[in-house]
Amino acid sequence: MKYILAIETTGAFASVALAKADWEEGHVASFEIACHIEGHDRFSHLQNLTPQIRQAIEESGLSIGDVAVIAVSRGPGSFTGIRIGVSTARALSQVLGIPCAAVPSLEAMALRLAESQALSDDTVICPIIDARRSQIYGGGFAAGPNGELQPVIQPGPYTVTEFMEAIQAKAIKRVSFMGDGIDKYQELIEEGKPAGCEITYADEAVRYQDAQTVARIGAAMAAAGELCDFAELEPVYMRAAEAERKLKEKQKNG
Amino acid sequence: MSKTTIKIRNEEETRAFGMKLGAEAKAGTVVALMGDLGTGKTTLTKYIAEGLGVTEQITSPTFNIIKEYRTGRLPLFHFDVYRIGDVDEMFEIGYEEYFYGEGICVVEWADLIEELIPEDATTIHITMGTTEEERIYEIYSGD
Amino acid sequence: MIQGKFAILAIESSCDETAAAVVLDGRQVLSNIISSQIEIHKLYGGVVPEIASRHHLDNINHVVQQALDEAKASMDDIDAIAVTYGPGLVGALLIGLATAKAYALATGKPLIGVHHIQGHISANYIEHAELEPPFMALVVSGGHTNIVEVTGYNQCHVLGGTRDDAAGEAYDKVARVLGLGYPGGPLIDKIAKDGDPQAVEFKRVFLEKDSLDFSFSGIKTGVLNYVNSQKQAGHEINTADVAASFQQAVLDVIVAKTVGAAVKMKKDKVVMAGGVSANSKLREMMETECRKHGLKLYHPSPILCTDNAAMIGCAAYYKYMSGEVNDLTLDAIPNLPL
Repeated sequence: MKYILAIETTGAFASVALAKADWEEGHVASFEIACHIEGHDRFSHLQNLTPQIRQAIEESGLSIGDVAVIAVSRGPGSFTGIRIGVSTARALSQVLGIPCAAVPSLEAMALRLAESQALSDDTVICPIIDARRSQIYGGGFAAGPNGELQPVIQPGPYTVTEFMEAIQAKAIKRVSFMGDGIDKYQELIEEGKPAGCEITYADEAVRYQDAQTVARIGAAMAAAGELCDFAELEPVYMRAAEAERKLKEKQKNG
Repeated sequence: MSKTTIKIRNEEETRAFGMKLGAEAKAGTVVALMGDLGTGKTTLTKYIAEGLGVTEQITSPTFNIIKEYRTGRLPLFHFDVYRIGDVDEMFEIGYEEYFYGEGICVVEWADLIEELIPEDATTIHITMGTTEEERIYEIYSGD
Repeated sequence: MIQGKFAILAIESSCDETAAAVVLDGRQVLSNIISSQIEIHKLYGGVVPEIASRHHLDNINHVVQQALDEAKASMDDIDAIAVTYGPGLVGALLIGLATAKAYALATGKPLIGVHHIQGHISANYIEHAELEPPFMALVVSGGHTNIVEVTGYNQCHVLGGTRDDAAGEAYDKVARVLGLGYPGGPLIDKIAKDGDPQAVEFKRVFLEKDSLDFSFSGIKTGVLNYVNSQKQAGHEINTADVAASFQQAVLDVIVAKTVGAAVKMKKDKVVMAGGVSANSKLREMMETECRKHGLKLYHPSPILCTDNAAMIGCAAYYKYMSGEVNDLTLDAIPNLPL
């Protein structure tokens, strides 16, 4: 029985989860959320994250030394939020001498929706995070043969138009959107909806990021031997494609 | 994109111009200032701040890169990117959250990171006029 | 505890440098690691332009580990974690702060937040074992220029500050105008030695009567106008003379205001701090003026003048000794007042 501390700071609200799990090579034998702390102050991660972690440890009747793995939502999402989560995870890992799971944020989001609602088999869950200027960080996930989530649309930076085109290109018939990208770009999404594609939007209660699924994916990564040292724990910003394009153009023109 | 050229005869006129800009600025406004050392970019910023109702002293952000002022009608983020001048490094300091946030950004030496300036930004090229006090403002309005 | 003394692990990341240090009883430095200095020693052995500046997320854990290793200490030996929480660049501060808070949580040790300028002033307690408050302090760096009345280890009062450029910024900008490179301070200090400080008359800006504030943008403009008018007239510019004259104009004001304040407020000690306090001409002029008034002058060694974490560890020690600590909700404050 090992404890996983999960940190999620890529969205507007920070959350922390403590999970009790058992795993062996390639397989998570058991998984249970022991404690879940949700933040209520928008973009106050620096102030609130460490106190939230302490609260989770205390409410579980544990001590920080009982934590065996730190799972952190590595990005994409809020630039500042990612850095606060990753710095905190690296520091905890460094002092406690325990490994980290760099959990892909979009996948953790998709898992939240998948776990919470009965979705039909052919639904592709599309978490989209606002990257400003009609751009998003997005991906499309569907249930694989063993119930795990698999990417159908590659997670990355897209313009909303590009993302809708990707849905069309893959001939996806049922999409469930989630994430703050909905709040901002619903109109654009509706405009770009391919013919014959049914689009739903996640209920607000499960629309955004949360640490519980970060913990679950952390356990899966532990079982798969995908943990890393604090020195190898890197943020994943997925810089918006436009800036990259403009930069390449500038470099080309000398 | 519209262009206006105005002649600023002295600091009083800089003040009038700056205060008007500050008073009219909306959340998400980005003002890109381009001009050599001594053309009065920080001076203009002081007056934009005054127009916003900022009560704090505006000092040079050259060393600190970004200075934040929250006593005005909207938060003011005063950038000097001279020590950065590099798109990658701008990303590293989180420029997107500032430029596309809820405050006003005034960016000195914006020509060094021109590709990052939002399309609807107001760009002001400042050059010296015929006297020591005089300046020429070439103003490009994004919207 | 280390060697029976209170051990603080200090972290500083307010702007360019990622720094960590281990300090005992506030004044004994076991290690003082600064990110850019590591690079210098590793790669070149000389002065290099900004290497890995502001790459705090990449640097912080490694810099802390080096500080512990050099101090031959482990986290278990540390009694408290100190960190700069302002003023400075928010994106930089937050890396040091998030890291320090996590260390404090993981070790269960107290967290002490430190004001960056308080750190600079405290660098002198490290350098000079016998130095104690009260005194008048001058903090001059790239980002700050302040005259501070220090009445206790944890009590001070800002008497004046810059209204535009910090002294270090003024030096950098004039160095740019003269084509000298970056950082401007040391380069101007060096070349000015060969120049005549009376060669060009630049206006000394004192502002209103009795003001202890500074304004250097006028002198910068003065140098610019001088250089431009000389170029237009087709005259050669003697860079050393211009540098020396500029420096004299700036330092005349700094020295007069600082020593004047010390005399007026009946302090018998004057303390310098911050990167510009390593300037040889400033030290020379301060020494002369202080001696004239029977005041004792203190300044730190160059490594302690620059941004570093040992000074933060020192300031933190005295804060802790006065019974003050911070809790885990500590936030970064870019405009933190002294």
